[in-house]
Amino acid sequence: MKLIFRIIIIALFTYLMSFYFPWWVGMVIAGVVSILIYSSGISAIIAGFLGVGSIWFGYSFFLDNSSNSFFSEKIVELFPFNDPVMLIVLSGIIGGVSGGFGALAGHTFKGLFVKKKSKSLYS
Amino acid sequence: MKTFRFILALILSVGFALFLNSSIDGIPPLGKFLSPFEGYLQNAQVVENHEKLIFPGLTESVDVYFDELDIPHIYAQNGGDLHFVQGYLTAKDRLWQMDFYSRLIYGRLSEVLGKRALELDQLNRRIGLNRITNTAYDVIKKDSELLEVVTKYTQGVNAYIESLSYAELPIEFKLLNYNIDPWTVEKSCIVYALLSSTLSRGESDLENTNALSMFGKETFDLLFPDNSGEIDPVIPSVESWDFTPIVSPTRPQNITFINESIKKIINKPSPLVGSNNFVVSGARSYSGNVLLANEPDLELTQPSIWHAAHLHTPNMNVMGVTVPGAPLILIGFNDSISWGVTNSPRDQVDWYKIQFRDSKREEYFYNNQWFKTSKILETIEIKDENPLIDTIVMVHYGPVVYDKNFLTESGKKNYAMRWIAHQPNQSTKSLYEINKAKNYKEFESALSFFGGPPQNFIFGSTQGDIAINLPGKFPIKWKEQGKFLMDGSNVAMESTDYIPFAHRLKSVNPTQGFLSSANQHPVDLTYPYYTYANKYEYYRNRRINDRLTTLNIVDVNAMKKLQNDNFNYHASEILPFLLSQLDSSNLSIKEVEIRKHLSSWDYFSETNIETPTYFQLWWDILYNELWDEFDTITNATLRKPAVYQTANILSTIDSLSFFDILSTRKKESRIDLINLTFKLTVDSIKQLSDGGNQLTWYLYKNTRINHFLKIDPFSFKEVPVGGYSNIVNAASQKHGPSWRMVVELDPEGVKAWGVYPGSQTGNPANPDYGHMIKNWASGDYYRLLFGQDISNSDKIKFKQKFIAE
Repeated sequence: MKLIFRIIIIALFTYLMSFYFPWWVGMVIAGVVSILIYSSGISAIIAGFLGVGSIWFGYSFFLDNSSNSFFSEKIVELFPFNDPVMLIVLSGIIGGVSGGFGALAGHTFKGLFVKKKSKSLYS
Repeated sequence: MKTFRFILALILSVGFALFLNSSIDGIPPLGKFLSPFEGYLQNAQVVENHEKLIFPGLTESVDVYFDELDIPHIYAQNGGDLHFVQGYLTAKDRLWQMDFYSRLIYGRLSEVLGKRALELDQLNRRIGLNRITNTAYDVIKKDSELLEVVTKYTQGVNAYIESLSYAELPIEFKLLNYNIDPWTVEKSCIVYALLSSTLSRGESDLENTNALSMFGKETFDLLFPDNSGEIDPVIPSVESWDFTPIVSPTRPQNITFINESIKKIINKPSPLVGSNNFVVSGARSYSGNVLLANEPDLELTQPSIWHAAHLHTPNMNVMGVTVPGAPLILIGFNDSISWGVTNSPRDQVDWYKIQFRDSKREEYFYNNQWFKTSKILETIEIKDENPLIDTIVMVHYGPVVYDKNFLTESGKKNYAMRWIAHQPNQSTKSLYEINKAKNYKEFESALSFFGGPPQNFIFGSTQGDIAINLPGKFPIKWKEQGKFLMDGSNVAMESTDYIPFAHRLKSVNPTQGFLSSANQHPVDLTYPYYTYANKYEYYRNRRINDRLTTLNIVDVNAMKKLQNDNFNYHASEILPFLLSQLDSSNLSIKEVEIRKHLSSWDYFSETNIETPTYFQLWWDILYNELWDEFDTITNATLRKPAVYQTANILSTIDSLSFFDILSTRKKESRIDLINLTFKLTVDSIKQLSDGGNQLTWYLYKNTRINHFLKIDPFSFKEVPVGGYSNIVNAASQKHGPSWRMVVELDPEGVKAWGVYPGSQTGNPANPDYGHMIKNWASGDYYRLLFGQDISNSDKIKFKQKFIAE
């Protein structure tokens, strides 16, 4: 549940902030969410990957579809593959990996403090 | 350990972001480029057209009507507002192209393209396209009306640039990974240097010097004559000239031109650049109105060199095309007149050999004295490399383009360029006045300001006048002055006076009832001044004049048909002779078949037939084998004789050493050459069709319209269009009619038709990108929407109001 919640939060903020900030803003958001909502490392990376990746994939798909792939079919000629769908997949992967990296950085950052705090106050 | 883990994760993240944010080896930054929020997919989105836009730069509201072709019809209350909106809308369609042109002129392409553009940048700075543009602005600055035109246009462009987010930048910026610079008033003046570099820089002085040194004068004159018989010049023959000429300087006694071999020569505009225009008087037109046609044949590019607009204020109503970045209409019409231009080949560049006192190059020898030079330092920024600092030495002729730092290996070959385009002139004012001219008198007085590049200005008016004029700056020269490299220290080699405007070439309302030009000789030998160019057209002009003479009554359709005429005049003259030389006893079945096709051909190079391919293959092979001696020369750059002169030599001279084919042991005669090349041609036809190649004319010649960056998916190839170079429909491989316009000067309302191979939008992601190419190829036109009030026309697709804040 918490994972799905984090994915949705990352996706939503990535979507909203991307209109005002550069493409790597999803990375920052995934990092911040990993700091604010602490979880296991794997879970944080999955949330970052899917949160940012799904939005990149989904929005690419939507834009490509609304332009009937007219331009994607031209752009794909500049890439070493032939199917415009691959551009959407690649976009999703780049978004996902950037989200994953961001989440990892956030998670390890939080880790620095969690350790100290858990030892001194709660254990 | 945890700190290490965090630092590693941070480094990985930042590294990943940086990696995908930068362009490596010409690959666009993938993170930016594939992000749906700012990458290429944003360019594919339909831009929301606001019905109302508010700008502080305007003084009053401006109405804009977009027609079916996306041509803006701009209705403003004053010139300033008009050009503001024009700048804004041109940038909206063509911003990247404008930036590209400005970088080309200012020698700043390497900054974004890297080292591959360095030689071009260095050349353009050496020949001074940047200095020419700054001079043009300095002249404009002194005229408050013109200053307002370029200032407001610039503000409009910048208003558009400021409205853009990264996501909305044209795709080329994203592919090359750079950002748009602000537009400047100087950049609004680049068109003069841009056109001069294409149109008045054609010359062969150094190639001529090489050929003269190599072959001697007699052979030189045979291969490269000033005149070749049936010239059919622009200005119809006259009985006498209505002026007393200034006495031309006499050719110095015992003149010797410099004997020198020059290995590498600067890149020059393609010899395939050309144009046609023609005008028919009311007496010869079906409707009784003057009819005018013009089409500039330039390099075919995407985005197109032309952008169309209709500009209206209470005291101006003009429509036509201009180069994006230039605020005035270059070819077009208004309520009373129409004008068009073709290039007039006239030698505007002379080269002088400079002798420096020593290696410091601070003094040079001229008129038996030492004169001081000046130096310009140019810093060329190069993407991913250290900048190049180039020193350009200036002498009174102009820049020393060739020196030890550019193209020549030793320090001894220093050649200064004297180019008329370097001189301050009022060509912008001339265009400004032409845009507003109401009759021939006003048009003529506007031309008096014109300083180049030399054009055949064709003219027609609703009052019934037709005219052709060749205004510009032409030095008065003695025979052959400026045809070869000259001694820069000898005063006699320099020309100082210019042909006065009143002595210019012109023809007004001639009895023949029509006028035309197609880059041929401007005039016959009766003109009291020496005229020379390295290249003239011999075919298109004769075809146009033949047709206009034959057609008794001309209507708009006949004008359109003539612009798209595919008659191969060259083939009609040389092919019968070539076929007559074939030895019938020695032909294979295939050879007989090809000969039969060629002999029954009507010489029309139409789109979908194969015979023009057979002819062109034969001609190209024959031409190469005939002049194969030129290919053996490696220590000097030469040019080969023109097509017309080659045909002339072949059909009139029966013995010439050049007829030998070097790759064979035998010494070939003319008849051997013709027969052998015919066999080679048939072999090559067999090979091509066996290899699965289409020999249909349009597929074989492959007319293509390349994107500036040669990006395949943004280009168009194998465009189904007929014609070729030297044919009126001059669509060759990469050059052709870049704007076809036909105007009927009806006093009740001027009517016009036009088409260009491209689209108003320069955005490859727009489904309309290149949409007019289809009609252009088939010879169809669009009726242009024009008039004092068009607001209620059903051709209007969209209305936009620009409101003053």
